Amino acid sequence: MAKKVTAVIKLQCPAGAANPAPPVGTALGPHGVNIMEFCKQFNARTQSQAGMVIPVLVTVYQDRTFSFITKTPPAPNLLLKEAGLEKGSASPNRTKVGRVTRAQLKKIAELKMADLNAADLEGAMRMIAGTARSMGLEVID
Amino acid sequence: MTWFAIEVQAPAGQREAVATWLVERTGQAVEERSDGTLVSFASDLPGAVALERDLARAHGGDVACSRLELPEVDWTTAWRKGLGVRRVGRFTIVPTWIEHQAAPGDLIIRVDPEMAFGSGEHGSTRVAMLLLERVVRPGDFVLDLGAGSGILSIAAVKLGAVRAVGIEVDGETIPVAQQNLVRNGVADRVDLLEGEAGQLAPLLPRAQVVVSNILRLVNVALLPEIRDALAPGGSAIFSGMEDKEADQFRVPLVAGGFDVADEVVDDGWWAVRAIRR
Repeated sequence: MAKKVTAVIKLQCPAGAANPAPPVGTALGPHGVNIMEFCKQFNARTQSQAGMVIPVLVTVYQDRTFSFITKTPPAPNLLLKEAGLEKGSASPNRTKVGRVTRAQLKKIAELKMADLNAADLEGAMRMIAGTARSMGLEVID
Repeated sequence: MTWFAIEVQAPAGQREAVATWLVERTGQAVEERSDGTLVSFASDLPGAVALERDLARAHGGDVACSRLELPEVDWTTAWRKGLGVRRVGRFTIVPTWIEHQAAPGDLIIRVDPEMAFGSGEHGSTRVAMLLLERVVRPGDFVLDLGAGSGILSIAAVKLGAVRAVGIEVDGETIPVAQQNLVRNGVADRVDLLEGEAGQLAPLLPRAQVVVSNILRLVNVALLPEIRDALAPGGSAIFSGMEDKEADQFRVPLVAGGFDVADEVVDDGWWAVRAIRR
């Protein structure tokens, strides 16, 4: 069909838990997107990733129909899960709150490779390691 | 309930971490605007103040935020604003939440804007419907290429087609279209196939009408398959093109063995009916 895009909206959504409250309603509603239908479809597609934060790009077409793509969970989310932590350090430079191994970095880098602007896996691992340090996580071998 | 939007500016390198923190702290989604602003929400003022305080504690002075009180809107229904009953030729397109009494001769199609293109709110859908209305006869077999929501297959059956087949490359739209077939009571007369139109059309019986509401270049690429898919005396309807593209399409259309029979324009969108020469 002759799709013409009227808007692309980016949300970070808890997997399997989108609902019509803000920001889903406030971001998508003014574009005339069928809010309940978006929530239903998003939740169905992401329910197996419960506990993760899922970046989602919603494309709205001229006739108010829509489509969306989901991306891999953000690196901080994956790092906290790997480190077994609830949250990162309040002052990452001074207080280290946990550790991640290089094997764990590799696992996250492989998962996120498609969404990262990295030339190779080594580059992706360096990016993830940088994120880990900025959260107060120590990288160990 | 009054909501408060908290607009958060964070350095690019920290944005992902801040967004994740906000989602985990609030249990709600966060909007990321194109300028990088993160927008989180609280359902009351104390909640908003607490969120700002915790955000400052967790991410320090690099993060700035501002607060905005939002008007109370029920988005579960407010998104419907501007959508209503729409007449397209003999068809009346009715959203599922509206009660509507059909007038004699009225062909009702019930469809909502969902995750498949073709809600009737777009000119390319409407011009295709208008040409279908002029050409579909009772007993016809109709092929619908780029079926989307299934609206054109539904229209064809409402006009008397004995059977329609919708072909759609985007598999995610098939369940949406299937639901629309059921809503409109035509599921027993329309089949939906997922795949490339150029590969699937040759496998089907020849059709009295082929409708292709895709893009100009795709329509051009499909001309040989569409020509072969037509029964003798059949019509092909090409839509999905702006009226300024009409000349660019007519040349390959005629070169591809078709004669132009009819044309319609609506809201800058052009559709043409052609017959096999």
